[in-house]
Amino acid sequence: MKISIITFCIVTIALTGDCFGLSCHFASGSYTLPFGTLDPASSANVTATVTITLTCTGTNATWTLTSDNGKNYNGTSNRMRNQNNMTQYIPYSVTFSPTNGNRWTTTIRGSGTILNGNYINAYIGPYTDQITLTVAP
Amino acid sequence: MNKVISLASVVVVVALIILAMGRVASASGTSTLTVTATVLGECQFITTASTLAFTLDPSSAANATATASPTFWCTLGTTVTTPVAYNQGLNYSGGSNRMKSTSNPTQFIPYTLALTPSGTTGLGRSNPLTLTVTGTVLNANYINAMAANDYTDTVTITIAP
Repeated sequence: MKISIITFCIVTIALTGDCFGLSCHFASGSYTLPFGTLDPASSANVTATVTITLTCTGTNATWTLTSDNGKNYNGTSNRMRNQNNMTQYIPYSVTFSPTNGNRWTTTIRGSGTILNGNYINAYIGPYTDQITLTVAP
Repeated sequence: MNKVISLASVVVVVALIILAMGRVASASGTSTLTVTATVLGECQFITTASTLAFTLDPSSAANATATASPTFWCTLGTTVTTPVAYNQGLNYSGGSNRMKSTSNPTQFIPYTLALTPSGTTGLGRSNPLTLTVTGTVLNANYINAMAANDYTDTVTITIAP
């Protein structure tokens, strides 16, 4: 009996990627959080959002989302780095919601903020950062 | 015959296990979130109105000058466009900006402007630069001017980008 269940799982995972519903993964390998143009004359914080979609198979699938600190973390803040002047950074924050769910909750909203004081004196030009998102199991 | 079937079963199971391992590996995953922004390069006046006040004494033998020092800021790293541009004012004629007497509107005094920024690279919004505006009225252009204390003109100075 045990052998037959194991065999069933092997066959099921091989064919569907799932055995008793444990599989969620990102619908895309890349997403963008676009803050757009930062106008130093502005007096407001700048926000941006991104919608991240998971694809789940299996009725009992559950998932947990984690994210790293990006490529330019300074111990305090996530930062974007200027692409023309590599010593220049802009701190930002980003949160994700929800960070766990099941196969029925497969849309995650990422919300980013750049504080006004963190860009009014920033160096001219394009900035970028890359965060790695991980969904498990 | 039994041995053949048994061997075939083992091959199939092993193949399925290898396939399953690949599937399990993809059951969790990573995705890259690229964060982007662009800081606009611009210059903005902090002082939006300033005055050049000439005192013109017809007994003088010198050109008359006056200065004003409006401040402005530019995005850090921005190159200020030079020369700083100004327009022809309200009374331009014959290649010259002119002041006009309000009480005697047929009377004009030509003048010139020179605009000199304290720097040509932006230092950020919190670190203003100064634009020195120097106006000159040539001696010959005022020694015979009609007496009045209300010669005036309005010029727009544009600092770019």
